[in-house]
Amino acid sequence: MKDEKKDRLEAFVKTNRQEFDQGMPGDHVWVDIDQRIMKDIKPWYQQEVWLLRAASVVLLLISLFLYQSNQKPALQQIASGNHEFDQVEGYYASMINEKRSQIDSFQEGKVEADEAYVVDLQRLDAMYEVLKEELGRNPSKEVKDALTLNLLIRIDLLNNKLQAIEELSEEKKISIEQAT
Amino acid sequence: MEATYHIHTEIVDRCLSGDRTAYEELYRLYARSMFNVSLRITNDQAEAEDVLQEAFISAFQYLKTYNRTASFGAWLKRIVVNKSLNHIKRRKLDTIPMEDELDMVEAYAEVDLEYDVTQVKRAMEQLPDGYRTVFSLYLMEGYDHGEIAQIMGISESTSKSQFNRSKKKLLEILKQEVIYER
Repeated sequence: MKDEKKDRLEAFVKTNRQEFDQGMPGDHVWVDIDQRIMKDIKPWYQQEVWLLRAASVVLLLISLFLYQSNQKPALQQIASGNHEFDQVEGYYASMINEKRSQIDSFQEGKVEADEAYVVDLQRLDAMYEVLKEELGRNPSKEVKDALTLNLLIRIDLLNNKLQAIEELSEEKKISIEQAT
Repeated sequence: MEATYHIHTEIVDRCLSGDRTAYEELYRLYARSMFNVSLRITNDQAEAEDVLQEAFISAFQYLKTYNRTASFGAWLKRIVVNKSLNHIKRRKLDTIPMEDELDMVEAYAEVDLEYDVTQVKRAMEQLPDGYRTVFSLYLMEGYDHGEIAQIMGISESTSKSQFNRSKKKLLEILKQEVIYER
């Protein structure tokens, strides 16, 4: 009987548990906490978490770099015979052509002959011709590397140009939207 | 329950990554319940506010040490309880009465009372600090006697007997109130 009564009190408290939380702290409590902790909280770039994240990104970049430099010899191996170099050349040449036609389509065929990237490409082309002649006389690894590099620089140039065109058209779109 | 736990874990993560708004979010989520935990132990609005402030500042400063084995709420509650206990110890108004008119209390135990939240709350406020603390830690905050023993630095059997005495004392107070109101 007595136990039942005690349990009744316990049961009552448990059933109405939420209603026992009626007290509310004053607003000044948060104001004080805020003032105190804001002095201690470091901005995000000083946080260890962010330093760790930055470190892991750096580590990833280093491993990517190392991975790619390990891949290089493989590329050079492909280019070990002239026939194999032709394959590499063909691959990059098709890439270059594709990017050039993309740029052409953006500019609707109106490519300015004195545009910096066009001049650069012409120079690279001239250099390429010289190197190609050298390859005939001396099919060394160095010459093949120089030829491959020449092609890679062209791709890089075209990529930059493509990106600039895309950004420009994006800006135009935005200004049109704002104007309308 | 699981979802709630994850939401708050996400806010904790945001705090740790330096997101200042996340701290206020955590405060708003837990301030009320934690304030009431402290209010039941300290029995004083201003003191409970002080505890709340100290507890949140500690929790935020030591957030990195929160190891996530328990929910954030459980971790924070433990800080609030410890700080509240420190406050009443500092106050030294009364200690846990070990023998307290038990025979008298027995006489009221049989009385059939209709409980009411406000009355029970008011009766709790009249309990001595020690009784009120054990009563609320066990019945309101859901700690078992083993945990209470650890928190309060007493034995498990003391926690049990204190709880039983606190209930009897509470019933006595409630009975007196009923008589007074009649």
